[in-house]
Amino acid sequence: MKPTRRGFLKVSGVLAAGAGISVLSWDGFRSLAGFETAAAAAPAPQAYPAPLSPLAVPAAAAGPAGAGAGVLAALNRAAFGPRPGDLAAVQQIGVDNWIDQQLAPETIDDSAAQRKLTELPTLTMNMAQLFDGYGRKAKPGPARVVYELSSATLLRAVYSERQLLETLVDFWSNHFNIYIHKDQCVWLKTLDDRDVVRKHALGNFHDLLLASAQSPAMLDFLDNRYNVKAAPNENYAREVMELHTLGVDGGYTQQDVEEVARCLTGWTMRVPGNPAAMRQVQNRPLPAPGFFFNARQHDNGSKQVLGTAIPAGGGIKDGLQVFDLLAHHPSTARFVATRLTRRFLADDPPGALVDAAAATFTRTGGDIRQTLGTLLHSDEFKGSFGKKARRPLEFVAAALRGLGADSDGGLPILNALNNMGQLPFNWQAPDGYPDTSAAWINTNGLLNRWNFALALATNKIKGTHVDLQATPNASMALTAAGLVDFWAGRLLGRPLAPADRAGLTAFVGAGRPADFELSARMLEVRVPELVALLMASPYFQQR
Amino acid sequence: MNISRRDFLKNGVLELATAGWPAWMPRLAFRTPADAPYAGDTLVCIFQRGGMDGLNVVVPYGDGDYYKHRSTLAIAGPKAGDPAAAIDLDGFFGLNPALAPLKDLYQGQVLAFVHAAGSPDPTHSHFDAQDYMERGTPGEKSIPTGWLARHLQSAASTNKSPFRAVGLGAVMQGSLRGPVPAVALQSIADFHLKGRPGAAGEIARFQAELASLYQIGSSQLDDAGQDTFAAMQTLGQLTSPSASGPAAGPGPAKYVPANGAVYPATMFGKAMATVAQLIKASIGLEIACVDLGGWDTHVGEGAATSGQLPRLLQELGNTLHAFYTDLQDQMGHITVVTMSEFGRRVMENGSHGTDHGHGNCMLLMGKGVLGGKVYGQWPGLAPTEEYGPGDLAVTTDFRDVLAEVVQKRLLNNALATVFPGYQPHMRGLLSAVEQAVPVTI
Repeated sequence: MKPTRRGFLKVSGVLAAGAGISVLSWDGFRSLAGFETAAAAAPAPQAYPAPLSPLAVPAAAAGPAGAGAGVLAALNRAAFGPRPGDLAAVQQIGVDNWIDQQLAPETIDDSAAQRKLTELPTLTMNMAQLFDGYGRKAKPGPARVVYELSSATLLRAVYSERQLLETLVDFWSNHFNIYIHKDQCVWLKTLDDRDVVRKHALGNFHDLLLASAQSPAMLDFLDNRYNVKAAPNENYAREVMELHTLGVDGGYTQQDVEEVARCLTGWTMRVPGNPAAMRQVQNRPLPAPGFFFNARQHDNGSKQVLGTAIPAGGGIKDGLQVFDLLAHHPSTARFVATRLTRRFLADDPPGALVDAAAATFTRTGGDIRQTLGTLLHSDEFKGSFGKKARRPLEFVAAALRGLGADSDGGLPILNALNNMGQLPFNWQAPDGYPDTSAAWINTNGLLNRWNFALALATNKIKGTHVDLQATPNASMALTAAGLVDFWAGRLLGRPLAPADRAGLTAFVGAGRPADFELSARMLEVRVPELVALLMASPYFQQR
Repeated sequence: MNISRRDFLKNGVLELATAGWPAWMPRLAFRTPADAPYAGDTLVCIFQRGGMDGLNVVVPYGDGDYYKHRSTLAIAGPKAGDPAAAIDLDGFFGLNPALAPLKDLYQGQVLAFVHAAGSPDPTHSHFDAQDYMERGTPGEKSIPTGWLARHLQSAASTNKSPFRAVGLGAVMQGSLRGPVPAVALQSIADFHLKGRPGAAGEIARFQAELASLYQIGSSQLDDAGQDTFAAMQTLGQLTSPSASGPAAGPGPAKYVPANGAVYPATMFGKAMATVAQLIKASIGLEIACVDLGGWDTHVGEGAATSGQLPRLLQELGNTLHAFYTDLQDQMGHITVVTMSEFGRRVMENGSHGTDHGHGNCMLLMGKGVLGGKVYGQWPGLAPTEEYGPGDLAVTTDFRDVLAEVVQKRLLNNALATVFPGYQPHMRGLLSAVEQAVPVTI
């Protein structure tokens, strides 16, 4: 029995959802439903602006309550962009259900992404294996460790099913930023990524903070490993308050910085191969590499931090008390909530939502999962699509996902990210990559994105492959207008402005009528260019 | 209501009467004079990110307290035959020998230093201090523009080049943030769309269609897109003058600096070489911003011969020397200024390094500089003379230095716009550009 459009709509639940779509692209439905089509099923006459896929955002439904808009926000903020079929899938189960699933990544099978990481053994190594196996004089040396971690970061962003987790890993990696090329961070950042950031990304903020404080990479990056009683080093003490917890206006003073530094004297680390640290004392086993509290270097005097008296003789408890104070300080709730809201909603975070997130953060003692829930289930979030610009990592990942690319996350992709200015772990200052569009939308950034789009669409990126001709039912969309509609729907999920649609149609058809069927030769040249144009367009830079 | 940059540039005559502007900004009607091409210098602003240790760069060897505070990091006063001793500048200050390439320029009176210079704001936060310095409003974050952007806006000029201001690097410098077209650039040779080799026509068609996609609406994205096309057009003509449209291909294989100048093969060296190329191309470059990072020497700073600081100084000195040599004939119309968000503490720390401080040293280079001097009023390093927790005090506000550059070399008198809420004091660091004959730069 030949499927009818109405029957299909009922089945897919679109009508039931009352999306109010008046005119539909039959091609779009066919690609979703996998229906074969008889040649007679010519495209229904369309009144423009027709939605380009069943899930395009109709004007009426574009507000916060519109299911369509929420799907776009979800897949572009709590994920690195939709893959083919994602928009339909999320629409099917509902945005809120999808968000809840993503908030519980441990319940999501991620074996497909795991398979992409099998060539990257350093990801699971411990400190001794990394230092011993990839020393500076070895071949390959630490550059291999850096490469594997950077590649894995990109691969996970593109292929993981646990997309919300990956966006949060990116967020916390920037919040607790470590520049991977400082001293021993080349090896240590791999441990930090696994044991600190990934482990606690959706957990409790205090646990994340403490793990970071004791992370050998952080101890190295911000010099606390050298912070000793005789000569305190304030670097980490300052940044942990300014950048990780309270924020620069969070109410701490220079005096507090000095007192926190004193509390953290002796918080240091052992690395493998350090003779003084690894000196074997008669039958005692070698001390393990990693965080180590050196009591002899600790300033045991009494201290005063943020108005709290810390009595003398506390040893390691001084520092533990500091992190307890910082994690639960109201300024921290506010600071973290603001940064999360900026990442997930808008460069200028809406005050009411920051308040709500901070309240959840405080009420739950710093539960990141629940704080995210407050943000993502809100109407403001669902209506926020388009308010943020894609930064280079988000742009590259969205492009690869949108085209269903098969990539090895290798050097060509990493080089492209570097040219755009966002190679993972390459930001030298402790504050992490900027999170506002003003920092990224500039001439250099755009030109690099355009060239990446061209290279990707024409399969010029070694190690990455896209198959634009084999996309489901692409063979159905052989006219210029059909192609434009199909690809805009797939890559953008929303309608093009009429003038843009006309311009692109004219471009693809090289001046022929919009319903002219293109030859195979023309398709070979035009489809990649069309895809590249869409990815280079302003539409694709928004999220 | 926001006026987009595009409208602003297209119209040329515009009254700033929008709610989007900060209240402090006077309502100005900008009229670009019909025949007033830009006659001032090209300004190259080098921001040393991380807080350079000025005390070990221009060394106050004449101040005994310097040696009391730096048991391992202090640099010895001038001593014949000692490569680790400071190079004498004026009998009190000496130059870190790692900056030896600058000695001739100093003695040739085209290079000067301003010591104990900096920001009045006490912050020791890199981000705040850099932010304040780039906004040009220490202590104040309400003004959303950078000082250079405000200069470009308020200067009367017919310069419509898309290359009026260039920021080297991937992320635009804060000093250029504002409604002026600034090009973020990494490499001239690569600044074009890359299509199939030999398919120039295809690329041209692609570029035209892409440009039309960036024309609908007037958002920041569209502005940036249009700026990029304009920049590609200009650079395309620069690299292959016979091409009639977008770049027909990559630029010259390799830039050959003049007069045997050799730029260090570092990112900073390449960036300054790119600036030199742009200046020589006479495409209307007025401002270039370049960054040099790594100055945050908390650990193992090193003194004169080995360590982080001497390494950076070698790079800086060699690059500045190469730049001057390369552009020798044009240095009468170029001014280079360096700045850093703060200096470093007088007393060294326990890791053979220094922590964040306050007063610092700025550098000026160019034929318009009244060089061969270390300017500034030395406050001393005795405990009673220090600032805050043991820092070098600031006796010359950084805005005094920059304002004098803006007025005398960039020919812009609207200093109250460039540095709102501040009355700059001219320190006699520079001679004024002769306005007799406007020069195409």
